[in-house]
Order: sequence, then structure tokens, then C-alpha cells
Amino acid sequence: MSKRILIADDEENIRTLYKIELEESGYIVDLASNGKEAVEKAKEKLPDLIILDIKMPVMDGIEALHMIRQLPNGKDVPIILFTAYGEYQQDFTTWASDAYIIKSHDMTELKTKIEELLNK
Amino acid sequence: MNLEIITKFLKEFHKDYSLSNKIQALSNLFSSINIEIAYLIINKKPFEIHRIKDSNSKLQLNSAEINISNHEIQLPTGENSITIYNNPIKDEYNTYGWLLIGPSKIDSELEKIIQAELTCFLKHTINQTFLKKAHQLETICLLSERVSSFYDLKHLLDIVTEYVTKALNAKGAVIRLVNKNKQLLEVMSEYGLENVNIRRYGIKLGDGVSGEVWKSKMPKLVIPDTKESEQLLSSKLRIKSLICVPLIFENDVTGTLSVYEKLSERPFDEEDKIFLEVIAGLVSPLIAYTEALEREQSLRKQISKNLENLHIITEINKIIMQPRKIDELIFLILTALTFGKDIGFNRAGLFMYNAQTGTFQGMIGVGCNDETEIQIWEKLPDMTTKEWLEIIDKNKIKNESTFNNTIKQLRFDISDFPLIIQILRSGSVYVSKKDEKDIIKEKLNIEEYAIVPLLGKEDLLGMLYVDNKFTKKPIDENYISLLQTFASQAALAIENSKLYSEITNTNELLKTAKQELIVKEKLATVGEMLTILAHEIRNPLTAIGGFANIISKKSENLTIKELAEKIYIHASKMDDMFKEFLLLAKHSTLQYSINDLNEIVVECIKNFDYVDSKNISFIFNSNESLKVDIDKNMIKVVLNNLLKNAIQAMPKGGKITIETKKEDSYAVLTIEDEGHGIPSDVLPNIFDPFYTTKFNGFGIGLSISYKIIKQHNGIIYAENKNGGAKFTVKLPLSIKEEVKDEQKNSYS
Repeated sequence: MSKRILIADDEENIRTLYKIELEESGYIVDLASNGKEAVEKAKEKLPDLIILDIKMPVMDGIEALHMIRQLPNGKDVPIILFTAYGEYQQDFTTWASDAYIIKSHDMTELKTKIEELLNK
Repeated sequence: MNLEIITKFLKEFHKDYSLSNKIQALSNLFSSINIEIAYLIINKKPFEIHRIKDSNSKLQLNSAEINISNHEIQLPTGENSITIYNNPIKDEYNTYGWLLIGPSKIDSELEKIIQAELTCFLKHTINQTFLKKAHQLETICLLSERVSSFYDLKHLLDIVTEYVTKALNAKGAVIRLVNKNKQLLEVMSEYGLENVNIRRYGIKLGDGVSGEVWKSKMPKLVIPDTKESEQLLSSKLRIKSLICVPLIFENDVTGTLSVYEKLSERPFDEEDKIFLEVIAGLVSPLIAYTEALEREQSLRKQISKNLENLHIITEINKIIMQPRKIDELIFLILTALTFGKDIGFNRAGLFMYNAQTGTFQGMIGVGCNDETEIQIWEKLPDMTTKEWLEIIDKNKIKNESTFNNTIKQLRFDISDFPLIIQILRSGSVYVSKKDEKDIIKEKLNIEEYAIVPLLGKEDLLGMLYVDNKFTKKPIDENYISLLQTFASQAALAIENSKLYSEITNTNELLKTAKQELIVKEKLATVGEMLTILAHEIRNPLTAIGGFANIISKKSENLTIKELAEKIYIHASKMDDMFKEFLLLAKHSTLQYSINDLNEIVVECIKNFDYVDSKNISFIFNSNESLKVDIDKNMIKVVLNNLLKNAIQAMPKGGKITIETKKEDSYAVLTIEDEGHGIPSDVLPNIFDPFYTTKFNGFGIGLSISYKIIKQHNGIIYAENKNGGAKFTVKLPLSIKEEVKDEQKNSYS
């Protein structure tokens, strides 16, 4: 059965790109345009993996991450933080995320990471 | 009247012109004509009473009893039963004296003859006295003239001794002056005393006649037939009479004037003494004046010499005061002491003083090595020290003196010569004492030397040593004053130079700090800009690249596929650039771990496998493993950058040589290519993030590399070698790993 992935990003282009790429890899992809939307969708139905952009309007990725972690079973869902720039590298583990990835059109790294986390 | 008696008397009377002869003649005459008492009183002031004959002791004439009024003599009357007849000796103008006889009168004819003869004689004698006085006055006049136009004191004193000798008809005269330093009377001028054993060495106060006069400030007259005269006669002097008068100026005895032995029968008298006192009064102020004048002249000479010295020093100063390195300066200072005609010591050395250890350490020695060199030096063109210094300064002439090694090996402790240190601290020049041994003489095997302190603002900086080992020229006053002035200037120059070095160092530090600050500021600005840019651009860029990738994969149309691929590649390049910018702007802490640098190099080279087609070959030389505590990923970024640059420098292919080795506590890595090298105007700023962007070919990569290596406390630099570029990276070897190694060794 296909795994469900929730992607939250304020950039529509990025959302579209990731949706195409990940659906091609065989995942079912849900989209959210900010942190708040992501938390609501996760509350509705917890996905198998969540990808959160850090900088987003309304609610940013870090806050969304904290809230998702407080949901029932939220502690166990793998969460990947991703961002356009790399200045948070040193801190990502303290945010209790499972991975931290710099956005790139090259999907290789992201796809490898997703596979790794879902097959745990 | 018996003619025979008269003839005999006249014969005897005219035998010579001396008074004693005349009296003898009269005495003989009176004996033969029954005259018992006879006195001759000569009308001088004071009277001279001559006893011709006096059998009757009842009559004792002395000047107090004689009363002369209106040129008539009144003899004491009363108890005297003897009749005395008074025969004035006079002509129509003057009374020259009186002849007293008794108890009977003499024959009137004989009386006339005696009177005529005595008148003639006394008139002549008195005229002689006048003549003498005139002569003396003339002498005084002449002397006054000379005195008012004299220049040379010695010459003047020679004139005085000659004149007084002649004026007093004496054997000779001597002027002695008080030497104020030694407190001794010393002969300054003498006349006519070649055969007289006068005291020619210094006479102490109160010693001998002159010493006595000096002490008492009173003139002294010694006449024959006195105790003092006998003493003189029995002494080495072998003379009977003398006059010695003090030369007094402003109540100070400046010397004495002595006249020895009257040549004529008549001895020195009070009048001669007074005459000499007049002369002394005339000469004394002149002596004082001349001494002052001579002092002034010697002062003036000293001043002019000082000025000359000052000129030399000023000229030398112009050179040594220029800001320069301290060792260069000291060499110049010492050279100034040895070269040229101005100062020209044989050898000179410098010792610096260490106040903490209390030692003098030899720093530099210059000067000739042996006698033959001195000869060569003397044949060198005649130039001033300043000209020499300019030549030396310009041509950067090196010190080749063997004396340099000698000096450098010397080290003195303050306790080696405590006295000398005292002198040095007072700022005086110390010239070695002739017969005293000291440690410097011993160590340098030298007979005479001088040392001059270099006094800084607070303490002794050191000392300059000079000697004339080969020419043996004595170190005299002139040298000393020159040295003194020189030393103070040299000390100032050394202090200046010290300050100059400090300032230069500080400037250097400031410069570096400023540059670092500029780089940091630039980086900070870059960081801020990039944070915004990254947010604004990277998202759409990711989308562009991502969509292009999807198109290229999905499109059936080959042209579209190809073009989409191109979009993807260019977006990748742009994205790579942004990643690099991000690394540069990021203030992340490094994640250290101990790695073998060689392994990292091998990994990096593998990444460039694809370049094989470009005819690029990698040569990696390494002897030993190099453990470094580093952020592996960051160092990889650096290596990738450097390798990428090397490949880009050789578009037609070539060889890249990579070497690693240990150097001190660093692991050293070099990467050499065969390209065209780095343009010289770019080279100094190659690691500057803004500058390098202007140079096509090296991206921001070098700035990032620089930043990363700096964060690792390492060193990175670029140079051109064999036409290509060579980059060197030095990273501190891991201490932890070494400790481990040591432990391993100690356990085994």
C-alpha cells in the first residue's frame, strides 16, 4: 500500500514540483500552504511522513513540528525539515525532526532520505 | 800743611768711586793729623751716618739726635765735653752732607780740599741716585707702555724680569706665579739666573723666601751681613742679598717677583724694594687679566671645538636619526665611531644592558682586525664620517669585522665593575686607568679603552666601547667630549628606533586587524544580502530546475528534452553558486573529528573522475599519514574548490600535482597546476570575496576556502610556480592523536 506524505510549503511551485516528483516515485502526496494547514491535515489523518518548510506565513515549520509532535501518535511520525538556506543546520536535532534538507531541484537526496525513514 | 799727607790722601781718595774707599781714605788721613772723632752724614732721606773714626765711645751718633734745619746741622749739646766741629759739604745750590770732626779743627786749607773732594763725590753719588731713579722711572714708563699693548703673558713677564734686573743693576730676576690647581708657586719667567741655583720646581705656601712672601703678602728684603743673608749664602743659592715682592691682585697673591744679588757695591735698599713694589703693582692686574683672557681663549677654543663636534654629530645624526631597524642603526652608529677622519677609533662595540638580569650583553662590534687593515683604512679616500655613513647606508654594507664575534661572545655582570657602573649611571665617559687592571682590559686584551653610557629616558640602555688597539692613539679630552655628545645622540636614536619598531609593529597589527575587519564586514554584508537572496531566488530556482528536469524526463520531443536538460544544468550551476554563497555567509560551528588528510584527498580526487576526458591527470605524493582534527565536509569543500580551480586553469588538460607532508606542527598540502598562473594584480587579493569575483575563473570558492581554513586555525596561500599556480594549505596536526601515539609507544 502506498505511503502517504504531507508536504507543507508556501511556494506553490515547490509544492507542485515535489508533488509530481514524489507521486512519480509512488507516494500519495497531500499538500499544505502553511504550518497551520499542515497541523490541521495531520490532525484529520496522520500521514506516514511529513515534510515541512521552515519559513512559512501564518505558522512556520518549527511551530508546526512542535504541534504535530503533541498529536496522538505524533511522536512517531517521521518529519523532514527543509529550507532554502542552510543556516539552521546545527540546530535541527533539537527541534526533534528526523532530518534536515536543503531545498534543491535535485530530488535524489530527498528521495533517499524518505525511503530511509519509511523503511525503518 | 804737609803736602805729602795731602798727596797720599788724594791718591787714596781717588782710588775708586766707592763710598767705602772714600771713608777709608778719610780715616787714614784723620789718623795722621790727630783727629779722634769723624762722622760723615750724607744728606739723604733717611740720613746715612758713616763712622769714619771714633776713639771716644762717649759720642754715639744716631739719626734721632741729629737735627737739621735750614741745611744746618745742630748737634746735641750738654754733657758732651768733646768739641765737635761741623763742616757742611755744599756748593752754592745744595747741601750734600756734613763732616763732623773733633776734638780739634783741621787746617783750613786741608778742610777746603776735603770739602771740595767730598762735595764733588757726594754730588756725583746723589746725581747717580737721581739717574738711577730716572732709570727706574723710565723702566716703569716702558713697562707701562708694554703692559698696555701686550698680548703674550710670558713675553711680558720676560720683559719685566729683564728690565728690573737692569734697572736695579742686579744679577737676575724671576717671576713665579701661583698655580691655583696645584697651590704651588711655579717659575714663569727668569732673567740672568742661568748660573744661580734658584728653586725652579713648585714652591709651597710658606716655603722659602718666596713662599713666605706669598703667605705674608709682604715684600721681603735681604741685605748682606745679616743672619738671613748668611742663610742664603750657605744655601744652594749662594747669594747674599735679594728682594722679593708679592704680586697682588684684589687681595690675592698671584705670584712673586724676586731680584737677586746687587752687582754694584751698594746693596739693595728700601727704595729698590719700593721700586719693585711699583712694578709688581703694575704687573699684577695684568697677570690676573691675562689669566682670565687665557681662560676665555681656552674656553672659546673649547666652544669652537664643541661646535665642530656638534657639526659632526649633527651630520651623523641626520643619518642615524632616520627611522630604521635597530640593528641597522647600531651598525651605523658604531661605524660612525670607527670610520672617517672625524672620530676614527680603531674598534667600537655595543653592549646592551638588561636591567632584569643586571648584565651587559655584547651585541655588535665593528672595526679593523689588525695593523694591516689600519694601513688600508688610512689610504682610503679622505671623507667625512657623514659621507662614509651615506655610502654604507646606501650600499647596505655588511659588518665583516672579527671583532663582531669577539663582542658578541662577551657578557658582563654589573658586579664585574661596580665602580664603572656608577660612573656610567652619572652619564660620564669612563676612560680606563693606566695602571689599573680591570675585567674589560683582561677580556679584550687591551691597554686603553673608553666606555660611554647610553642613557635612555629611564635607565641605562647600554654602553659603547671604543679603543685604539692598533694605532695606540691616546683617548684624550677631545675624544671624550665628542664621545659624550655622540653617546647621548646615539641613545636617543636607539630609543627612537625602539619606538619606531614598536610603532611599525603596531601599525602592522592595525593594518592586519583593519583588513580582517573589512573582510568580516564584507562577509557580514554578503551574509545579509544572501539570506534575502536565497529566500527570494532559491525557491523559484528550485522550481525551475525541478520542472526542467521533469520536462526532460517526460518529453518525447528530443529538442525539448535537450533544451529542458540545458535549463536543468544551468539552474544546477546557479544553485551550486548559491550553496557556496550560503556556506560563506553561514556562521556555523564546525563539527570536528580526527581524520587522515590523505584519505580526504583521495576521496576528493575520486569525485573528479569524470574529468579524465579532459586530459587531466592527478599525481598524489604522500609519505605518511597526517592526522588532523577537522570538519571533514568543510575541508572537502576547500579541496574541491582548489581542484576545481586547477582544472579550470588548464582547459586543454595537464597535470595536477598534490603533495602532503609534515612540517613542524602542521600538515601541509600543496596543489600545483600547469596553467598560466594567477595574474600578479589578483594574487594579493585572491582570497577577498569581492575582489576575486572580478577575476574570471575563481569563483567565490577561494573566499570560502580561506574562511574554512582560518576557522581551522590553518594557513592558506597562493603563489605562482613554474608558470602555474600553487596553493598551499597548512592545518594543525592533531594533538590528541599524537598523545594517543605517545601513549601507545609508552605502553609497548
